[in-house]
Amino acid sequence: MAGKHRIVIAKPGLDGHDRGAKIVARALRDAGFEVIYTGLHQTPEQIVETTIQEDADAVGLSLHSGAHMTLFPRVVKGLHEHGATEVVVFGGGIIPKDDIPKLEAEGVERIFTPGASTQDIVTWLSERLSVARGA
Amino acid sequence: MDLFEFQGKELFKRHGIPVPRGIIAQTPESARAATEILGGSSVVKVQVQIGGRGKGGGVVLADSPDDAEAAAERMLAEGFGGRRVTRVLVEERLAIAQEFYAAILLDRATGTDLAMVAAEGGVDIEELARTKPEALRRLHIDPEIGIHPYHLRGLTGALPPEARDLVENILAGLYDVLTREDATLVEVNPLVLLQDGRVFALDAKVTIDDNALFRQPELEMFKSVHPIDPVEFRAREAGLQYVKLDGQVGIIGNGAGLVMSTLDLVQQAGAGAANFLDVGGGASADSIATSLEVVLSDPNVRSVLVNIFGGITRCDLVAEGLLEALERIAPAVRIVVRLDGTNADEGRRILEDARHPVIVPVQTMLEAAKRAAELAEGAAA
Repeated sequence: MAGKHRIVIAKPGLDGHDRGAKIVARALRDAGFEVIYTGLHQTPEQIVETTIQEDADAVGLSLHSGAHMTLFPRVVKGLHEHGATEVVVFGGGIIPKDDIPKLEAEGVERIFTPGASTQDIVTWLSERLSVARGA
Repeated sequence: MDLFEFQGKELFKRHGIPVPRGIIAQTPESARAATEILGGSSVVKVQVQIGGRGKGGGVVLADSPDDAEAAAERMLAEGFGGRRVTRVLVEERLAIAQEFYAAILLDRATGTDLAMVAAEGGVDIEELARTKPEALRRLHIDPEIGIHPYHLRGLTGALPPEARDLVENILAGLYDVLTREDATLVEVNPLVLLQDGRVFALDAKVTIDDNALFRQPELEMFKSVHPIDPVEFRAREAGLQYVKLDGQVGIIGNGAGLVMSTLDLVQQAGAGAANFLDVGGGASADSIATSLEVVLSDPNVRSVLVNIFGGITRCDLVAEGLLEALERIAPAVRIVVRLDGTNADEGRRILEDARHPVIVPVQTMLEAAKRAAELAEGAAA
């Protein structure tokens, strides 16, 4: 399927809680996206590398350790350094409300916290990517 | 449960994996007819669940219906590797350009499924991993994530580019077979690229998880064509866990662990066990009688060792059951009995009072094993 959007789901940092990432990966797959899951314990550089190698349209970062203010912006920065400015970066996990506007300012477009439904994520991403593709 | 090749291919077809056109034949005449249908030439493949068919003459390229008939006649008459053969698979001949290998299996150590693809077919995978690692791709598939296109691309990376897309589809199909049919192993060796560019599964090895058969009624039916040992069939009917072995001391015990250690002790005493038989908990007169019948139906048995540890099972009931069973059947061999645990004293007293000529009561397991071994040897001499 040529029109399929490709999404990287990534686990930056050292926490091992991947149930959420896996559920999102499956939900996106079921919604017709092509999903690449990085596995645990990725550095921001590895995630940037994977996203570029896989020619992904978006990358979703899942993090529960509290290191989001450090690691999420480094992924955005890395993508920009490699000229991959069109890749949509979003995230999820245990992220305090106060940090969300700061992350958005750093280029993480949307944060989904506990309680977000998979349908919300699918809907947002579909709309965001169809806009990006100029559909 | 290991499936026969033709059964595995049936599952492959259902999940969109291309397999050669094939017809099952149970007689030489139908192998001839099948070859005629397939255009005058065929491959005749013996249906047994052991490897090495190619080298052992179990796969014959038939250039004519006559050839196919002769090959099928030989296979059905002679069997293969000591097994009885009731069916051959007659398949169309294909023009093969290249052979590969593909498999997905449950990897218990990592709790994931392991997928493997090799750019060479018909080879030993362990050997290939050592000598030519670049030709082999291995990937663990987390069942929570499932198989995704990036897995497939990674797995097919060592194959010729023109074959990759088709092999990716086949791998997705194999994963479907694994997950939906409750298989623990699906293996295709060889997977072939044809001269016309198509890719086919030329062989199929599928192992189904026996514990999942209750929810796979269709697969349960595959079982019926498996040639079962009549004694094992009888035991299964009676709900006994029976496995035939090749020694001379028949074994009856309660609990798989106790039976396993009994096998070890018999071995240590210098004899070999004729079987594994677990009568299970709460052994009744009936189940003891059936167990004895099952064990004694093996002509190699020269003595029997009954080893019971009563937990829930009461030794007095076992003793009574044994005597009752001996009224129904008159064994030609001696039966060594060791009872321990709940009501062991009563059980022993019952046996001693009965003074049955074939029963040899003993106190300990080791003694029982030695006695049974001696009796087996004496009877054989």
